[in-house]
Amino acid sequence: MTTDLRSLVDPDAGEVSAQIYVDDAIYEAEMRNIFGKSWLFLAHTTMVPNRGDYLSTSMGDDPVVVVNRGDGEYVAFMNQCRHRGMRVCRADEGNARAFTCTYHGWVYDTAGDLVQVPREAEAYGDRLDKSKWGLRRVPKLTNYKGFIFGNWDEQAESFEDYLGDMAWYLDSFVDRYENSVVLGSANRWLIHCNWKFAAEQFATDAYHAETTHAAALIAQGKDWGAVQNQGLQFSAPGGHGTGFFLDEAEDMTNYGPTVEAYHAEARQREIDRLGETRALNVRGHNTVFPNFSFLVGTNTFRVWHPRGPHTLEINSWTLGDADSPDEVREAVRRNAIKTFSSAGLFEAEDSENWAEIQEVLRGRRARTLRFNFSMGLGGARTEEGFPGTINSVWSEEAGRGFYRRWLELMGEAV
Amino acid sequence: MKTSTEALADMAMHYEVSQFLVKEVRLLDERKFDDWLGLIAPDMHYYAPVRLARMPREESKEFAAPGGGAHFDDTKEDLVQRVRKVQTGRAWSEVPSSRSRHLITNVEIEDIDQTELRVRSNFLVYRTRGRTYEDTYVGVRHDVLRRRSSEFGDFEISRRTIHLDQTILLGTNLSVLL
Repeated sequence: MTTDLRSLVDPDAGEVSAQIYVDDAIYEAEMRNIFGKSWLFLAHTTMVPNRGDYLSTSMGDDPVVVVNRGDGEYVAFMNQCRHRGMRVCRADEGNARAFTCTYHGWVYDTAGDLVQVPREAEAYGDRLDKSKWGLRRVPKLTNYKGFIFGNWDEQAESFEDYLGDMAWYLDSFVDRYENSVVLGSANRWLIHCNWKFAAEQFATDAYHAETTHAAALIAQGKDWGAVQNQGLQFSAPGGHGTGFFLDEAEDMTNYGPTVEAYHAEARQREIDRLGETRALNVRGHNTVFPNFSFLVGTNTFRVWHPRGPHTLEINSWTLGDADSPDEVREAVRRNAIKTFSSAGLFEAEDSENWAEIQEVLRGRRARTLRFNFSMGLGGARTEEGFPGTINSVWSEEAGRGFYRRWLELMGEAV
Repeated sequence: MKTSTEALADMAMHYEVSQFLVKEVRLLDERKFDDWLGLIAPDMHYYAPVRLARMPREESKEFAAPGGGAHFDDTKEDLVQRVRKVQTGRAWSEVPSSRSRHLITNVEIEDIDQTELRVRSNFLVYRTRGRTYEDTYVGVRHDVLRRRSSEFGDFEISRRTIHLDQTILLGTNLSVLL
């Protein structure tokens, strides 16, 4: 039985069927058509600062290792021995000169090339061409201002073309500091929900914050409604999205006087780098399609790793200004962890919502519900000074854009 | 060699500390968070670094170094905010409330000076909420307890380092304290 995806996802009407968050066949197609063809975040260069440093991650469900080869060269390859498919890298992070499979002992160098096979002469004579049995490399890799993305599709457009107008918004995060540094290893946890709930929310949804995060805002002594009213949302044909406020909005954090003073001083440098609008206002929620998201200001960034239709693995980090004083970096890191992480004051409610929705979707009638993505329909426009398609921050323009792109990549039927 | 008098003193101290820890987690399970905060020293550092699977020669770096990844890296003020958040009644990850049970075992007093004790204990925190949701957090707490008075069990906690056994936490959120 085939499913007509256009009957499930109608971006122009602003309707998305709940079926797409639970369906096994749709998930399979996502792995092939979206995660097999999109630029996916792999690592920041400061996560693997030294030659031989490696990091285990994944692209969709596929395990991948990212390695710093030195001299600015980074590679990524499947974490799967070419002989019988065993993982060749068993650790989350580390430093290595080679990766030795623990099953039969095939040895790969840090480029993923097969360099040694136990008992090669007795076992294979001269008939094993080791040059053909290296680990499968991620064919397209880019280092965009320190952020390494990979793509399985050899024909993929460049990362810059893939971003399109999103580059301007992404730079508000990745280019804000002259030198960025990732502040520590990932915070990792599972949420029992479909990956798209998280990805779409960070693309399109400032709307949830004052309800979902009411308690976190109160606990931090903040009155969200009083300060944040006017804002814009950006949507890209590539499925990316961001929303931000134009009010003179304060951050949702109390860093204390020392850190605030530094931030005030640093603000001028950020204006010099990004221009006033971006430095001061383009500080919101963002998703680079399909599963890389970040919040400017809080400085959390994360990958939403799909783990089957019903499970999401979050890997989240904090980005810091490498040139800021230790006290400032510490304050930023501790605040990001406190607000957006496994135990985050804000994040706990997001995960609660998504997991509860997923639980409701056990119901067969529940799956036939069509979610309402109609906010701001017909309101798309251009706006002087802001690249791309713009709508109100109180819209679902970027959500519709996310699913328009999703549909385009998925094809008409699964 | 330890004399029997010394052993009796150890037992008394062990009993006092164990009873304190049992009372402390009862306050969490009974959701008496203000009372719990009363046991927290003003200079508290409540810290749960992230954990990584490492190859044996790098196992010393299994837990993130200070300044790195963490599930909790809180001051007392941060803990006060967490409690305030739950008490709004609008912290949906705790509405309706989780039912939690903190089991504390393997209590060892590692070091004692005049006013401070370094205590390690194992914990198992079971949490269930909603209809069928459940998760379990297991690990070890490294606490520093500070004696406030000569009254039995009158300690405050000035440092808690929590080493969880899971690397990727399997629960949806850590909205309970460990």
